[in-house]
Order: sequence, then structure tokens, then C-alpha cells
Amino acid sequence: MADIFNILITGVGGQGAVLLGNLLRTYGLTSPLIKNVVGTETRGVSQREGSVSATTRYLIDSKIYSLDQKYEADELISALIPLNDAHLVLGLEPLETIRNLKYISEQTVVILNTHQNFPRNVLFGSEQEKKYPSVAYIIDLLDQFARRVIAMNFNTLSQTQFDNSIYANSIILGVGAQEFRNVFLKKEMGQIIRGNLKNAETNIKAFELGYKLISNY
Amino acid sequence: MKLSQLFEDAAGKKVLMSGNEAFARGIFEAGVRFAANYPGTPLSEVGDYLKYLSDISTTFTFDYALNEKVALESCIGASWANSRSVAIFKHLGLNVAADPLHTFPYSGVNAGMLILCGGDPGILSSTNAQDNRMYSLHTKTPIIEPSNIQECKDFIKEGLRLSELYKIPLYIHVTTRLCHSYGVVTLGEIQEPTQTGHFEKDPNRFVNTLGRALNNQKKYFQIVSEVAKNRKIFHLLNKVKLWSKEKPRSNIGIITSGICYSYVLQACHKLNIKPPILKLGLIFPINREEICHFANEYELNLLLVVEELEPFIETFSKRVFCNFCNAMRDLEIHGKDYLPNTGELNTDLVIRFFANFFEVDNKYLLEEFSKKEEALKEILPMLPIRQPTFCPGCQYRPVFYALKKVTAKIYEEMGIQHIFSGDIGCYTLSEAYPYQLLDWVVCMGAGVGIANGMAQILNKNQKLIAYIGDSTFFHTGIQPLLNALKNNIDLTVLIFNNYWTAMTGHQELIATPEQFLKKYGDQSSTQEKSIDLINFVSNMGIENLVVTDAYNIEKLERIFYNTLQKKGLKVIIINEECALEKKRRIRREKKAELSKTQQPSNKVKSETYYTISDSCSKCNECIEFYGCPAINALYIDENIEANNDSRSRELRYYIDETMCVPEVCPGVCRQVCKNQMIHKTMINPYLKDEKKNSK
Repeated sequence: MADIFNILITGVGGQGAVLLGNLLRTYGLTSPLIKNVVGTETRGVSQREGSVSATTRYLIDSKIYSLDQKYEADELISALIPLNDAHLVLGLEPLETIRNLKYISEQTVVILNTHQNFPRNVLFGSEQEKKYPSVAYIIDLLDQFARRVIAMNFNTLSQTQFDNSIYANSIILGVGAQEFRNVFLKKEMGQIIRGNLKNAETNIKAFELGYKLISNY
Repeated sequence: MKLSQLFEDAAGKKVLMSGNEAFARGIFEAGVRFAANYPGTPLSEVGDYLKYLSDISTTFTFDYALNEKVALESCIGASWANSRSVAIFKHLGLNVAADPLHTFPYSGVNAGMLILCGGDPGILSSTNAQDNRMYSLHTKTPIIEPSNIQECKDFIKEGLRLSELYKIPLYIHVTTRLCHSYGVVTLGEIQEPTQTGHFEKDPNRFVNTLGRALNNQKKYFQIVSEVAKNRKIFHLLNKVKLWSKEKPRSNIGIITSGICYSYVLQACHKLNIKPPILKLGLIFPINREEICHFANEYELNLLLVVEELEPFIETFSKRVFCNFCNAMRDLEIHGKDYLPNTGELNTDLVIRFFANFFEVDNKYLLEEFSKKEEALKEILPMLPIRQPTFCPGCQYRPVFYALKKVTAKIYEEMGIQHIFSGDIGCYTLSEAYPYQLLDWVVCMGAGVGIANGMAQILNKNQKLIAYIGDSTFFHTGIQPLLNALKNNIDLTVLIFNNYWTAMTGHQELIATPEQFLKKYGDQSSTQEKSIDLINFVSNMGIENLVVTDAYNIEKLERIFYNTLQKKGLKVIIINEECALEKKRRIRREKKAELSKTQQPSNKVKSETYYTISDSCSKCNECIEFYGCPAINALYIDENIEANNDSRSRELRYYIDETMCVPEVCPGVCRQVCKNQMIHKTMINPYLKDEKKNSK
């Protein structure tokens, strides 16, 4: 028997949600714990600045990791996550994370990058009457629904540590991996990063920074 | 996945693939010799992969056909000359290709032939959600539908085999969700293409006139009913899912197909129910006996059908049980009386559907669903959406900016209102704020088409402007333009010549200049010749023809103002390459040049920068009304996050260096700025900032 582990990545086009989804699916293919992996991407019509979300779903041997959802080990599962069923949400952007609230429930751990990306049409244009909710409100809201919310401006952290904000996603990945140590083996994750990302060494450092982040606090 | 890996010879290897990659791999493994495609979501990428394959392969030919009809007809020809062929396009393309589809199956095929067609039930990137399975009601083409990524690859091979066995074409039905999903696929053996390339004359079969057509129709219908009766095919493509070896306890059975099968499985797990499921891979024709057998075997008194869009399988099932299964008269069938016939399905919808019929022991699940939905109802509508717009540096932006100004001016001066007839392409985005220059959009080529009639009827105070892109023009745009020319109707046509089929991912087309064509290898490349669109249109003999580039707003305004006031048919060709593809092309070429001289390739980016002066008066002309995404705004006080009214905070305008494309766009924002606050510089202003920050 096997269990399903659901990961949702939310963000804005160009932030790396698609890349992270691919990375996690590749991990699913190579990890000895994971029996099967599926996933999908939802992109809007816009090539830039649109909402993007990516899913990755693992079938994990129940002996190793149990979540109370019993499936046959070779079972075919849909690429879409059912309502309330996300276990790990990597929120690369606050607004896009609450847009996907339907997947977040008491079993969900949300890692949220509080760095906001303001839609231009909120500042100027057609959506001026709607406000971008404050980060405090967003965290409050996530807290109501999720099991655990880890929110932080990972862009700033990445900027101060590595002189560049592009390593934020690797730090977020590290935090997520630490939260679910049974699913994400640190060494294997390192190998996947090394094999699939540019500037692998810095990305691994960022991943390790994220991995240690919570225990250090 | 890397293209070279997609086509490597590695049978048995397990790889992660998208649905579209699996289709391309299947076509490769099956030894297909010819494929033709007109790009369209959800299947655009399949063409891109096959184009690569044709460049590196000596046996495989791929063609970006002018439209879907040409693509389908090419594939018919290839199959008749004894080579396996696959035609690939989106659901709407089948409307264009419908003409041959209704006749050629009478003659059948020689080598296997497939029509791979992608539907879009959620209308995520189309203009309608038509259910193409309905075509088989009058073309009788058998339909097969894969339900996971492995089947995407395998069904191509099975489909070709069946097509060859029965000598008829097969239709593969897929939807966006499967094309864009990822899953693990085991690679298979690569078959060598059948290489006869010989056409055997047979007028009785191929010349469908008078008595012959009727004869061939009878034969064809006979073959299709044989497919329906073949038990082997039924068991090869369809599957009965049982949860254990014992007979299921419930008397409820489920029929489904495609991606919905995975939603059904998931829903059964969530509700902890174990009904027998019949998953159809062969959707049409339906095998009556086997379906009756499914109902009898498991003593069903209730059958639930789960499918997207139209009640296709449901209608057939009802017919089977009403007319043929006497023993099963009291079998109830439900489907679309509970499930929506618009939009994509998902697990949640299927759970609700099932909960009406099964005794569900985990009741709290549905309560949770309702609770969640109530909560979301209050939150989600409050969130601002992210609206699509043209790319930074896009050549369409100055055009619509100028057109908006000029049409407003003409309205003010002369009281003439302009109506904008839209078409399919990037210029459809002109409907968005701040341009809002689009009054309708229907289908490929309909922009000039609809204008043809309306322009002859309109009162004097309204005038028409129709848009069309180069790819759309060669697809179905030539005839409507010629018709307008024939009648010399009062209409302005804007042809956007951007050299690429841009919106679907920059596929080459007949108007792409030869020197720009992408080549992955030196093997067979189908496109040998390009046609210059300007030459082509000039030769039509249009009196009022203007050709212009796009990045000069003043010039555009002058041309629009003069041309729009003329009578009769006017054509303005906006001749400017797609900015996004031009940027990539220039960087590609620079990189290749640098690697030749063995210099480091990190200097491929342009060394021109645009900046906004600190004394900017914030008139918003550039950021709001010109609307280039590279011009952006930041709150000066970044640390205040918890305030309530974001609009009261002060903004700093800047040009985002990572988005700005100075190698393509000559800084049109400078033409827009009335106060000359945007400057051109050769020193990287952002580099300085970064150094400051790091100290």
C-alpha cells in the first residue's frame, strides 16, 4: 500500500514555480522512497506576470511514510490535487498563495515568501478598486486554515546571504524539506539540485541554509 | 526533458514526461514517416518536438502546414503512399479540416493514419469548448482516448496498428489537462518506418464519385461496425477496474474515459467506495455486447457516467441499454443530470456526484467541502486578478497606443466612431486595459470576414478596422481580404507581419524569412521557401496599401490619421518582427558569434539601458497608458507592510532592467514621455546600485 503526498507551488510567471515543480518531480523519479510521481502546471494566458501554479504528487510506500490515505502502490493518480489535500505549499508570492486557499487545510504546511509582487493593474488600471491585501492579513488567513505557516521575506534573506535574491526558492525548498524529512532525503535533494540547476553550489548552500533555518531560530 | 533525450534509443528506461512529450515519443517509436501540424494549444509543443526530430532524422518529415485542412490532407496523401502519418492540431482546427474528414474515410488509408486532436474543456486558451467526439456521429471515425501519460505514448502505437489493420483513420481525443500533465513513462522499442512510398492506383476506391462513393460508404460503415464488435480490441483498449478479487458488493457501476478516470479513482478512495469501473479507451464505436456484459456481470442496477462536456458515452450507454439489453430494463443511468456540461471536471465534482448515490461513511468530507466553499466565497472575489498584456518591448504596444489616440481624435473632430474587428493572435490582447481596442473575436480569419458584411451595412458615422496577423492571414485570411477587395468595401485592414506564429510559441511559418529559420540539424527540413507577405499583398492590387515599421509612434499616428479618412479598402501592414523572438534570435546569433571567436559568452546582453529620472512628475502616461511591463513602480517605504490603503503610499517609478529589451525596442517609452524624463544610457545604472547595497 502507498500514501499520496501533495505539493503545491504557487507564484507569478517568471518566479520559478515551473522549475521548482520540475525539480520536485525529478526527485520523485529518483528517490528510493517514492513509487510513482505525477504533476501538472496551470499557466494563465499571459506570458508574463500571470498567476502560475504547479503540482507534484508522490506515491510513497506506507511502511516508510504514512498519511492515512491508502492507495495501491502502482496506482494511477490524477495530477490535480483534490480540495483541502495539499501537504506542503511552497508560496513564492503572498497573493498567489491565498488564491489557492482551496487546497490548504489542517494537514498543510505553508512556506510563504512574503516578498510581494504587485499586479500592475492594482497600481494602475482595471483593478484599482481592489486592494492587494496586506501581508499581515494574508498570514492571518493562512493561519486560520493551515496546520503551520512559516512566513518570511526569503528574498531579503537570500540577498543578504548570497548577494542576490534569486536563491530565495532554494532556501524555501530547504525549509520545506526540513519540515518533511521523511519525504525529502537531504543528500538526494542535493544531488537533484546539483544535476538540474545553474550555480549549483550556491543553490545547495541556500538549500542547506533553509534546512537549518527553523531549528536555528 | 532535453530534446535529445526525448528521441534517444533506450527501451525500458523510465523517464518523466509531459503528455505532449509522450505523443512525440510515441510518433517516433511507431516509425511514423510523416506528420503535419498547425500550432495550437494544448498540442503546440508536439509540433516543436517533431520539428526537431525531422531536422535530425533522415526518415521522418514534419511540416508546419498553412492550416489544419492542408495538414490533414497532407497526411492522407502520405498514408495513401504507404507511409504512416499523423495530423496534429487543436479541437478548433478540426472545423477547418472537417471537409476532407467527411469523405476520405470512405476510401480509407493504406499505412496507419491518426488525427491527434487536443480539446480544451476549460477554455483555458481557446474561444470555445466544442466536444470533438461529436464529429464521429457523422464521420464515423473511431475515437481512442488515453487516460495517463504512458497511454499517451502507447495509444499512438496501438492506434496506428489498428488503423493499418482495418485500413481506416483513427482519431485520438485528448484534453489540455492531460497534455500539460507529467508522469512516469517506460520507453519502448523504436520501429523502423515502413518505406514503400508507392501509391497503388485504384479508382474504385479513391475516386469517390456517383455509385463508387455509395459503395465505399457502405464498406466503410461495415468496417466501423466490425471494430465495434471486435472483443479483442475492446479488451486491448478498455479496462475494467476491480478493487479486489471478490465480487463488488455495490450494484453501482461507473463508466468513464480519459483524464476523468483518474478523478474517479481519487473520488472512490476519498469516499472509501469500491464500485466496478469500466474505463473506455475506445470511445467510439461502442461495443454493445461488452457493455451489456459489464452490467450483467456485476448485477448493476445503477450506472454512473463520468465524462467532460457533452453526454457522449452516456447517450450511447442509454441507447445500448434501452434497445439491446432486454434483461437490464430497470437499469438507471446518470451523468449529465448531475455533472456540469461546461468546464473541466475535477475530483471534487466527482465526489459530490458519487455522494448522491453511494452510502458514504465519511460524511464529514462533504461538510468540510461546503464549509470551505462558504469561506472561499467571501475571500476569493476580493483578490485582484493579474491581467495579461503584451510582452515588454512588444511591437504591438506602440501600434495600439497610436491607434487609440488617432481614433479618439477622429471621433472628436468628425464624430466617426471606429469598430474593431478582432482575430486570433497576440493582438487579441488589445482588448485589455488601457487599450481596449477590440469589439469581438470569433475564430481564425473571422476578423476581416465579419467586417466584409458589416462594412456594407454600417451607417456613415461608424467605420470598421479589422486586424489579422501573418500566420492567421495565410491560414484563412486571404479569401476574406480578396472578397473585400472584389467589392471595394469601406474597411481598413491592419496586417501584423511579425514573422512567427507567436502566441503558440514562435513556430515558423511561410512568412518567416529564410535566414531566420531555426535548424537543429542538417537532415530533412521541410521548409525550403519563404513568401514575403508584403510582396504577396502588393501583388493583390490593393490601391491603398501602406507598409510601416512599428516603433515610431508619431509616424504611426500620421499613417493612421491619413489612411482612416480615405474611402474604400485600405490595408496597413505593420512590418516588425515579434520582439520576444527577435531578442532571443539576436542573443542566439551573438552567442554563436562569440563562441566562434572563443570569447566568453556572458556578454550577449545589450549594453544600452533606459532609466527614469528622479524628477519624474508621475503623469502615468508611460506606466498606465502606454503600459509596458518593464516600467514598474515600487513603494518607497518597502518595510511598511501592514497598512490598509496601499494607494496612500508613495511610489517610485523605475525601468526593470531584467525585462527591458533595448536590443529590440528603441525606447518607445521616451517618445511617450512628454517631459523627457526617460533617458538612454550606456552605463549600467543597476550595477552601481548593487555595489552600493552590498557595502
